[in-house]
Amino acid sequence: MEDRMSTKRKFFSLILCGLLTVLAYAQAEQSQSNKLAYAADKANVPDAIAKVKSGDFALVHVEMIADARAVEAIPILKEQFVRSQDPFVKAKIASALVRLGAKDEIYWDFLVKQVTPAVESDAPDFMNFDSQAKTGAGPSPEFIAWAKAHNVPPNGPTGTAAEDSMYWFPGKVMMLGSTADPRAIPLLQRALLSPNHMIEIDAAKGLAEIQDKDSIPLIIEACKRAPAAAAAVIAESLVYFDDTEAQRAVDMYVPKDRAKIIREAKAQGKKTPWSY
Amino acid sequence: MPLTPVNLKPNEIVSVNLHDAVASAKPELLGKTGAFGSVVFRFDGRTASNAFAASLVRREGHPIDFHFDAYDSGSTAVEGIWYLPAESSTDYLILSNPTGKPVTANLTLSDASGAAHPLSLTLGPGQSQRTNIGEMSHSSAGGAIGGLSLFVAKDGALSATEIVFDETTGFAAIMKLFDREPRDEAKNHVLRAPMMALSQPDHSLGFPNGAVLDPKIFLRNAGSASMVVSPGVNWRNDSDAGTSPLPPITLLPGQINVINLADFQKSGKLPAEATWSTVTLGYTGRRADLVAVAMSYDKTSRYGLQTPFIEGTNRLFMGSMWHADAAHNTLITTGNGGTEKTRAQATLYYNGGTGEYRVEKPLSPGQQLWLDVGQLVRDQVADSDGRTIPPGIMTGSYELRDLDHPLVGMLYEGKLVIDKTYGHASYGCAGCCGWLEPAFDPDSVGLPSDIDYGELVDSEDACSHDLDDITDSMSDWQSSNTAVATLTSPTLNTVAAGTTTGSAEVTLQSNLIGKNCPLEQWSPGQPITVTNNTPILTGIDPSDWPSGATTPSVNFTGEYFGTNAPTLTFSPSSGISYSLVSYNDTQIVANITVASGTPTEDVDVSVTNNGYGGSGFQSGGGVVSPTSAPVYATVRAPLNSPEVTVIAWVNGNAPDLNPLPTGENSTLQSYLQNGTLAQQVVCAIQVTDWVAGFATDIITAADSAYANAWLIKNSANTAPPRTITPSAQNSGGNHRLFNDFGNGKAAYNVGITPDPCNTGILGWASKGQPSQYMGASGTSPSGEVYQLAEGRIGTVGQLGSETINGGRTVPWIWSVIEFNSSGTPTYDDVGMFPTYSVYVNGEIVITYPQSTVAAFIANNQTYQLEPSQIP
Repeated sequence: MEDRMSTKRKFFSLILCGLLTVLAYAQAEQSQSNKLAYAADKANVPDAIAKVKSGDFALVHVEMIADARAVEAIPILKEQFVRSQDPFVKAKIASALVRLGAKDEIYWDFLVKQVTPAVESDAPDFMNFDSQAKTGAGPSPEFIAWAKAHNVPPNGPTGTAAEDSMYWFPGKVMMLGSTADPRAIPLLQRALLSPNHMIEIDAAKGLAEIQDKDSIPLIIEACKRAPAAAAAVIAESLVYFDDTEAQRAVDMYVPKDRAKIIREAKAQGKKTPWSY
Repeated sequence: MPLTPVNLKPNEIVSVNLHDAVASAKPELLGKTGAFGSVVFRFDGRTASNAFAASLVRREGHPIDFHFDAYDSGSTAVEGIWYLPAESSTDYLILSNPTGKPVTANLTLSDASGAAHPLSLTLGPGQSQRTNIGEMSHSSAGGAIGGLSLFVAKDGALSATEIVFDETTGFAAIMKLFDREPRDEAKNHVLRAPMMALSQPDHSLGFPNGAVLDPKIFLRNAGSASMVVSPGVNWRNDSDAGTSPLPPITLLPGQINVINLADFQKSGKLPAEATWSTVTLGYTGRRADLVAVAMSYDKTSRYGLQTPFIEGTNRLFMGSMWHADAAHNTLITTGNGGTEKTRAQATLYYNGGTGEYRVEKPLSPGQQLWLDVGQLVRDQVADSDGRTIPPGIMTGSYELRDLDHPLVGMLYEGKLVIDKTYGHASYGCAGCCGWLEPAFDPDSVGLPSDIDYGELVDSEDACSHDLDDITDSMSDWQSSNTAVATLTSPTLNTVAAGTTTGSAEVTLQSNLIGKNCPLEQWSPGQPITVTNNTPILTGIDPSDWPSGATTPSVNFTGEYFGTNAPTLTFSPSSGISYSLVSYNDTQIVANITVASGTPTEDVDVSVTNNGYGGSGFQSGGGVVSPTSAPVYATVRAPLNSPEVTVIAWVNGNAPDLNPLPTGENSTLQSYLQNGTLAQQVVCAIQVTDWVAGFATDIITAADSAYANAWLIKNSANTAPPRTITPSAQNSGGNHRLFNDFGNGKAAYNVGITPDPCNTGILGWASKGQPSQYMGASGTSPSGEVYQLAEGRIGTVGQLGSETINGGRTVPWIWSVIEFNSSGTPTYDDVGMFPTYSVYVNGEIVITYPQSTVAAFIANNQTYQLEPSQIP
């Protein structure tokens, strides 16, 4: 081709190609940026329902159904609740069913039964919140002592206590709070007293999801008790309360830039911690 | 005095002239007046039924002859009638001691007046004595008659025969004696005389015209109570037959009575023209309580014949000699003494037992088969198979068989040998053939549990010694322990290990020839040991075991492995060991370790069952093996192969991660930080949201891409060094997947994903998940030995990834190391992600770069390598 093209034409062609490439890339990037993620796209709710119905589903599908208030999926969720053997998956389905208004007490009862051990656990923080420590990476000395006292490995692939502390217990508290059911308030308020700040954080978010203003003082008290790093996150839940005292606490505990981001998201429609 | 032995072929009959034999062996015994003795027949055989023997005593030129049948045992007590028909008559009781010690007996004679004449007798071993009844009873009047009782002292036995003869008139008769049973109980008895001649003698007897017989039956009640005798007559002649009951007769204890059948013929109760009869006498009492002797003689006593009363019926008789020539004839009969039809078969043997003449006839109850042997030979009458007895054949033996009742027959028999010259007919008895003790075959058995087993019971024919299957005739099948085996029919069903005894009942004709083979009930038993079953090994998976490595979870399938821990045996066994993972009756899972240096070889693998429920294997005394037949497995040791190590690791410096994708929202960007404690907390909370299914802050596809890339970049591994010690690298844990194979080594591992939020939790994504094919090894279709390592991120990471990526499951990562037969490795079969560094003998040889995160995450869990896909 080079043999048949003049140098000039080559030059303009290169310029043109370069411009077109940049333009196409920019448009693709713009498209990628604007394209809604699967879970955020309400148009995918029917697909999520179909996935749950097939039994080959993920927790995010259940969350999408609950968030979309797709009550028509209640029978499907009930069926999967019966079929599922994994307590974490069952808890997620129970949480969704409560949110969708399923009247059967078994779902609420199951959820409470799953969350209660998390709330009542005396396991301390896995992470090291000691401000004098070089790193926050766990396991903390308190957690090591607790694990030793309970004769369980504090960390590593053979231990589940660390995972419980970091993910499974907070996750279940999250499932309770996300129901926005006022019946969760007492348990969530108890969770604010947990020695595990990860549980406290999700309990505060749950109370914000319920918009239980009576819990604002308790959340603030939790912030006062907690190390700064934990208090900053606990206090984020207060952003979602239209309450002067709560907002004052946000200003007190949450770094300004983060508070700004959360408040802006709230202003754009994210009214509760787990809403989209 | 031993005589010259005689060889007898089957069914052959041989006569020995005792006079000539004695003359040859001991001539000084001859010519002595009144000399007599006994004859002992000794022969090889399993039972006395193997030969029938009798001695005949004949007075030459006179119608006097007697037969003395030989039996294998003597009598302990006998009852009889003595009889002196004329003053010139002689009645002898002849006794012989067949035992090896002296025997004492008490003989009592009673007469019509009731007077008793006791006599004590002692016989030395082998001694014979002859007692003249007339002298002892002091009776000389013609027609004197009385009772005779002989009791042998304890533990003794005597052979006893009574004969009456009259050298003046030519009268000769056997006064049959009846054996008592020591422990006999009173019951119903039927005595039967099958060939009683009536008033008009049959022409076959060859008596002179005008001879008229006087058929009489002498009866004596030898019991201690009154007795009612019920007589009956089945009569016949050449053209007709019928049955006539006679009036019952009451006999007081010791009373003697005579039934004169001629009177019934005269009165018309029996046809006058009837020539033959079978007389039956029914009574209730003990055996030998009724003594009955039949005789039919003309008024001169010159012409006549007898037939004995015998009790019972049989399935098979082996007869002695028939004789048919110009001067002799033989009549043989058999009748149905039962209550249902049966087929009778009479066989005449001749030519030393090689010739057979067979007649079959269905017989109704009471009906008889009648053979006039002289006529059969003379007229060349064909038998049932169309055969005839060649002219000139004059003697032979015979057999009578109930074809329809092989165990308990319905036949009775009779035989007359007629001396035409002197007008005398003598009877002879055939010997019955019974059964020996029946037994299960085999007599004990060891069987595995839960099978059906066909039992076999057989009994030996006492005459032929043929072993006959009598299983179908057995009843009341039982097992003494139904928890071990049940037996309600000839089919034994084994239930569980243990011992039991099977049994069944049968009634057979016994082998007591002298007592006409009475019925005998048997209940044979069979000890049964039910064993456990020998294990059956049907499959081993995988069956290729690399040497220098442990092959985990090898599956041994089959049955009867037991519930106790089984034993695996290898042959050759050197270098091979195992540890049981799990086991049950049909499956064993074990880790098989083959030591380094173990050569490539076929290995016989067998399973030994060590029992059930804590009890050992029940082998039935070694009848059943607890060890299975072997199944082959293969140990493969790559020859001169290097050690190849593949380390899968995430390269955080990959182009798609530097820089990270853009377009993410600011909240997400602010939450995914891990520099400070506060950031670590926020990051952990963000991840927890995702683990719990909340797609928090994942608004756009750019957010998803950013989150994926950030999480992977921040959980990257450090690049492995160019030189490694594989085992140290494995334990160090800085990898997503570890695969090491060759040079006798075999190791594999799924790694730990570092926590991107830097919270310190080991295995942010929980511990990695090995696939079901992790560690799979074997030989590929192309003949290469391989090891597959395969895994993916753990549960927490999978949940988080699914939330970020719209529910899409997490694909697998893998590495395959293969060696050909020369030990040359292949290691390029790796997943698209992450980065795979390959080492040979610890030196890096190649690194396969990872795909983009986006390309990898676009897959789901179906992105996986199965062993069957390895070419």
